[in-house]
Amino acid sequence: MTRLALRGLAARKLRTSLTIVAVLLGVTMIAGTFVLTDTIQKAFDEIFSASTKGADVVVSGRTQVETEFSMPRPLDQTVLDDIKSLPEVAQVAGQINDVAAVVGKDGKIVSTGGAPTIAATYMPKPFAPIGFTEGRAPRGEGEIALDAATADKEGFELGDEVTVATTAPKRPFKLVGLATIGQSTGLGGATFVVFDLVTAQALFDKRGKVDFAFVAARPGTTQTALQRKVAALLPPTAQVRTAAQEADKLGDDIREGLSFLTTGLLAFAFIAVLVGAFLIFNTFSITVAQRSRELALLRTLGASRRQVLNSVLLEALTIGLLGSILGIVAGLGFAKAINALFKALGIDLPTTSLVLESRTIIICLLVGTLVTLAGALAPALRATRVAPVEALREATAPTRGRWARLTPWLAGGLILLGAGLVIAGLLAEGGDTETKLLGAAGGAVILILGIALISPRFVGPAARIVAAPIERSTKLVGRLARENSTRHPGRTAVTSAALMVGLALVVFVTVFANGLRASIEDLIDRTLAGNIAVLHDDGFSPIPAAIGPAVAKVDGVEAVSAFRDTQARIKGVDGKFFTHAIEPSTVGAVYNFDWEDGSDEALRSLGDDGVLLEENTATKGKVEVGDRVDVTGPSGSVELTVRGIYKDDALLEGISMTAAGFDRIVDQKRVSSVLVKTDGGASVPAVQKRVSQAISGFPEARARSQEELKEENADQVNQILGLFYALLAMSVIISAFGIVNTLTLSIFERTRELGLLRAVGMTRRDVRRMVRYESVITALFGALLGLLLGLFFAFVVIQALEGEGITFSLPIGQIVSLMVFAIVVGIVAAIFPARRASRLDVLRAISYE
Amino acid sequence: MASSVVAGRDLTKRYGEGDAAVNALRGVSLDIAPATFTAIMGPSGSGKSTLMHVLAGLDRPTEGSVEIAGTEIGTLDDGDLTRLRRDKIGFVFQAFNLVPVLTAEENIRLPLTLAGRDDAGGRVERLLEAVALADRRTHRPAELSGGQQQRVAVARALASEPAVIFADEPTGNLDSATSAEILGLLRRAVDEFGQAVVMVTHEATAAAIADRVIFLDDGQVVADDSGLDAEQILDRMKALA
Repeated sequence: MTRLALRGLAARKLRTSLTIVAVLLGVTMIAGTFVLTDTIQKAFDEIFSASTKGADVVVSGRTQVETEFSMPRPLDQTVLDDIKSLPEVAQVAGQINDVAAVVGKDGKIVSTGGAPTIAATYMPKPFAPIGFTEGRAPRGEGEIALDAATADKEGFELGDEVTVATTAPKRPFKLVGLATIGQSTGLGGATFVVFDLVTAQALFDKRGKVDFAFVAARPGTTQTALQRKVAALLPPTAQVRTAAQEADKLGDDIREGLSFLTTGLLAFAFIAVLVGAFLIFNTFSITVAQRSRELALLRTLGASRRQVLNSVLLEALTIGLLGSILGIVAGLGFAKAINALFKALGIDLPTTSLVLESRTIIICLLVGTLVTLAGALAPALRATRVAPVEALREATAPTRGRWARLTPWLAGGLILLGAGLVIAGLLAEGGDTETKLLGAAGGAVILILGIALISPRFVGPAARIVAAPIERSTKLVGRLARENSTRHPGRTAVTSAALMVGLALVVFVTVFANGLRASIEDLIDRTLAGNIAVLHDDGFSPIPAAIGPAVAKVDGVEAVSAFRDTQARIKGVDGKFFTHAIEPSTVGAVYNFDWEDGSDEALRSLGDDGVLLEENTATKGKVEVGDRVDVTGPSGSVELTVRGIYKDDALLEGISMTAAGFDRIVDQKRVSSVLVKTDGGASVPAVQKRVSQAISGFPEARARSQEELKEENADQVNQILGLFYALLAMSVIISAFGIVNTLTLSIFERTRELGLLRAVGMTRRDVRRMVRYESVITALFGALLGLLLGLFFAFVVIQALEGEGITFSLPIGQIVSLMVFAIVVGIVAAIFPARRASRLDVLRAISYE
Repeated sequence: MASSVVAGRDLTKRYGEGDAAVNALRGVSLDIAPATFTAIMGPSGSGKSTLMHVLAGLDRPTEGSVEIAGTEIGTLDDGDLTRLRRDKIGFVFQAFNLVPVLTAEENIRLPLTLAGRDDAGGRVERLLEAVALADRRTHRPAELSGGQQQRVAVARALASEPAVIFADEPTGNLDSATSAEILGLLRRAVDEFGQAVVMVTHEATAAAIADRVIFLDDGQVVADDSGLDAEQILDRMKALA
């Protein structure tokens, strides 16, 4: 029986390869996800372990709350002398770490695609985080080194003048060295400028301070012994880690970020695998039906049910294994493709040689094989029910399963359960978010299975609707196409359901993005009282604080207010909150507070001991106006009195306080945004032009009008939408393969019929059209199901996010595009089967011998 | 030749190459006159099916030429050949004659629909009457008996008023009573509708209804007679075997 199963696979090459492709594509996404994130992780680990090279322990400011964008408070440089005096210490050196923007030869800031723009200082031997491929370390206030990759990309050579903006305005420096970090010449798009220590201290306003102290032990002193000794010397605001701990700590932050990426990509991979499972189920169902005579013959010859079951499952196992192995190989390519995609969207991630962990291989093999087996199980069980007597019958009537009568009930139950879980997961109050989201995702899968189960009943009526225009214009060909598509409703339904999954998510993200865009526009309109915003070129990185005063001097500017951001905890409340430093005297002119409890009076009376909370934060902390809250930021704590509660969950989400409180909890001098209100009489574009002029010393900052801000935000939403589309494309491609597979198998089944039609005068062109229309009908049915399901998802999710101001609207234009897209998918999927059908040999089709 | 609806000249059909080549037809020439019923007989492997396929434009001869209703088909491309089949030829096969998703009436109308032609004269209606299936017009093939299905097939073959009907073992799957019914229909097609019918069969009783019987053996015409009865045909066949 084993040999028979394998022979069968070899004999049905086309079907086998199409099924393998279904497994392969899903596994490719899983493998690609792991390979990509492992590779990025390894790249970062390499960089971080290089970043402490030569040091045994590293001293830095103590952080109480980990945040993504706040640095620890600098150390007093005197600490270096204290450490140096320890007998265990061989060498100690301070380092400054900050932000510096490099200006390219075109006069514009070198884009890093979201990667950081790092400034660091060179340290003497034995500390060697920074090396040079060419040139030497910078000395004195006029010299810099630049990472070799950026220099190469921008065409800078040793001796060139390179303009760099730091905390101070931009100015030219002489390029004296091309730097490496560990072994790597670049940091995945990041720019890396090296200064000497004294120069950096001056440029970054850190005179007498260092961000890090690197310490090397004398021979014979262990790292942990040194760590203990150094720790005893330090003030409570500083901490010391071993080199390995420091690298791990840096790596942990990245690991956390990457785990989001992994989860996100795996979700898309899971969708692709689910779609693949539909295809596998369908292919096996059809072939078992087509082979029922062969199976019955085997049964007549004495094969047991178990042997029949095993032979079908063995086929599935082989296909699953082959698909998984090929998928792992393809995953290596996919990892590169996703990375290229991210790069195209401006998200540049460092990579190194591709990492294929054994974990990746095991998971891929397991998922690929088990999903194939699961998909083939029901058809395999059906194969065992083929009665020996069917071998003798002329034609086999499709036997209805035992449970057919229960199907509507089961499907209805699944749909209700799935929809219930989705709604409960997204709309229920309280409970763990992660659990609720998982529940909602599980509900979505159950809902999809329920729809797939019941959809055969709707194939007939639905085909009548979607095929109506085709039939009207093409008469017989369209009629036959529609009839063919409804001949085996189960097949068509499962084929469509596979497409439904991908398209439902396309509809969902589209509708959601529409709502998001609209809500951002609305938010900007409602909350921004100013009309010009100065932000970093990339839209989110902080910019030098000197920009605020520079803008205030511009002619035609009525008010300017700057904002600084960090993250902080509130004592007794779970989670971290965005925390802002606002300027109470000017903020009211550029930002409309939507007061829940309090008024603009609260701004005037805020004081350095007061705090304003956003409604959600206040609710979560169960705090009211007048209560005292203990706020802890990265570098310290402060106790404040709540003076007002406002509503806004985008711009000033979380906690707002004055500079005095903010400076106690974090060392964050850079501002996140500077909002400007122009004089009533001044022309906004003219003022914007003058503002741009005034900040020209800070090339990383850019002034936007309100309209430009809205456009930029819409563009960002669109980019993310594009990324989602690209990731969903895999599922749509797999379902297109499903259509190809179903059509090919059906055509094989209808060989005689097609031969007859050709004999009595159907042209090849009409045969192709007939197959194409059948494909289009199937695709449109899938699109229709996907549309309904996607709208349901979007509706529920938007309800869940009601507070965020996202609204639900029917995107008529996009629905039309989706239908057109489905038609295109149908047409493309039909190319191969249609050609096969039209090339059919009429004689072979109608001969009996 | 204007007086014949189908004319085959020096037809040979060779399968394979070199030593392995099989000659299914070796120089067959024949003419089919309008409004005649011709039976092609011969033992298995005599080439009778191949001859029919070549004459009907379903297969191309290795050598020789075929003319159908005055059109030399050797130079036609697939599209023209398909249209010729649609307009000038009717087919009745042994089985799988009907499109399962279409009703009896739609199956009969199929050649007209494919050609985009109107049924101006109510021919389909008359054919439904003629094959006594007017009350079954909305039934699908699966709901009809074997004999009824073949009656639909004959009616379909007549629908486009073709120059000639080719019937390939049309009674092969039927019992004798039903066979007689189908043969009667074909006979009426010749007598009442003036069709030319060419029927391939290995049954002497079926061939006996024809005006002319052509005997084939080893790819060659070995006899071509008119007015034979079943007995005489059976004797001929025995002589060939």
